[in-house]
Amino acid sequence: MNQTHPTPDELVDYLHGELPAPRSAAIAAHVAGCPECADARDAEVSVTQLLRAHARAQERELPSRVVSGIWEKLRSRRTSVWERFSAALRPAIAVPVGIAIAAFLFFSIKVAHGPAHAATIDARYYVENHATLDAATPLSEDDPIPQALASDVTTR
Amino acid sequence: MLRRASLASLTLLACSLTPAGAGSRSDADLRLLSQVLAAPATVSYSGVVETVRVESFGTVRSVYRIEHRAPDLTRRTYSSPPRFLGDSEIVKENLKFSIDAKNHRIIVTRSDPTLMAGSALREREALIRANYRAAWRRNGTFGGRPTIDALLINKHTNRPTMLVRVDRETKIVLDKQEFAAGGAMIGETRLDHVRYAPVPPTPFDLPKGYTVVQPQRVNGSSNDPYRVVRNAGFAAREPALPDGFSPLAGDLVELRGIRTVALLYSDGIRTVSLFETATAVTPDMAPLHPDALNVGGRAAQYAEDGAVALLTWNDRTLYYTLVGELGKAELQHIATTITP
Repeated sequence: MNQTHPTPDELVDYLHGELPAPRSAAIAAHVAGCPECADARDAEVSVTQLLRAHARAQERELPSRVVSGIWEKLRSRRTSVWERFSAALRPAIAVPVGIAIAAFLFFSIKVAHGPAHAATIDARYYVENHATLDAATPLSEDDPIPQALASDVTTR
Repeated sequence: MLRRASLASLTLLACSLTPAGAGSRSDADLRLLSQVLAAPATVSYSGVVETVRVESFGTVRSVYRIEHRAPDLTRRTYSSPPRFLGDSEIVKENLKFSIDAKNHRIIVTRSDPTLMAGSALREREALIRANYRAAWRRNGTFGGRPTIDALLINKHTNRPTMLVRVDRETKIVLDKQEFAAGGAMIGETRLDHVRYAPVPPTPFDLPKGYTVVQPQRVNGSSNDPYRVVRNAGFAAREPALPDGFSPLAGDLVELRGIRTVALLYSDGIRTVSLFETATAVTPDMAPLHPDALNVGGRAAQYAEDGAVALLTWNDRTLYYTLVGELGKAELQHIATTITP
């Protein structure tokens, strides 16, 4: 087992899956056998969870009292002569502009959806996964290449 | 060592095998199949295995020393290819320990224990019986040992799929040759210098001081195909496949970060994997010079990577990719039954 304690920054990167596989593997093995680092990891996990909970709380809708206050302010705001003039023109401008936007969207979407544009993944990943799944069964154990040793492995 | 065998010569071999010895479908033949599948559970042996597979860039050859301690301990120590020199694998029941000597690490992979249970072997035997007929020859030799040779012929395609040469005394497979749909040999596994004797437990000890690594999997995934589909997180399917292919195992994998259901089907000898994603993603076939095909009126792409073929298409809900050592027509036939 790797006896070097990971630094706090490394521990954070490890928890977020941002370390290279070998280092990540070494830290996983170390933390499994080091109560001190396991505590540090648990503390970091709980801090992360607190931050996420806090972030989620911030995404809530504004209280209705605040919303109604904002609308009140908007309604009571005095409009200028120019604003009233442009408001009067708005349907005349908005209708043709709206039609133009709709036409643009229609044609651009149609072009984009002609043939299906799927993202691609190296075909070897499919072949390797097939070999790995196959090797895990009693049917086949004579693959010339030891799959686990041939591929990059990251820790759980 | 690897040679190409024409379909015609294999068919001739099949004809020459069938009338000799016992009949192709006799009880004795089926009993022999059971004995072959069950032999590693009772016979300990050691020897040198040479494996050759046809890949896209040529042939891949490996050589390893095998030590098998019945019923369920196996160690393979690699001497070739050079990059695996000194590496080894220890298999115990459903656990595989891949020992990376250069990086001082042990990669642990765990398969569903039910796949290694006796019932799995019985299911495999049932699949072979359902999908293959065997033509046996009882007077062969391999490495100086008397063998029984069997040519397994697919009942659906009527094509020879595998030739196995079984040690007459122990029922251990000494040589196995696999053939593609066109009759070309796509792989061979030979067990030479075989020695039948009790193997001590020492070779199966794991080295000390190595980092233990477990490959990343989607949490909670299972090898049970039904569970894998149910827990996929999208509307994945477990379709019924034709020609005797039955679902054998499944896995939830992340292919470049995209959650993918992988289902392994088998007809007892051959396997094919079906990959499904809800995300618009396909294998990049361009380097393999794909052919355009049609699957139930849908555009599909077919390509070969050595002995392995890929077929990909979508039904606008799911994106499918079939991977296996099957021919173009067979894959297309299977794909059509998945999305008719």
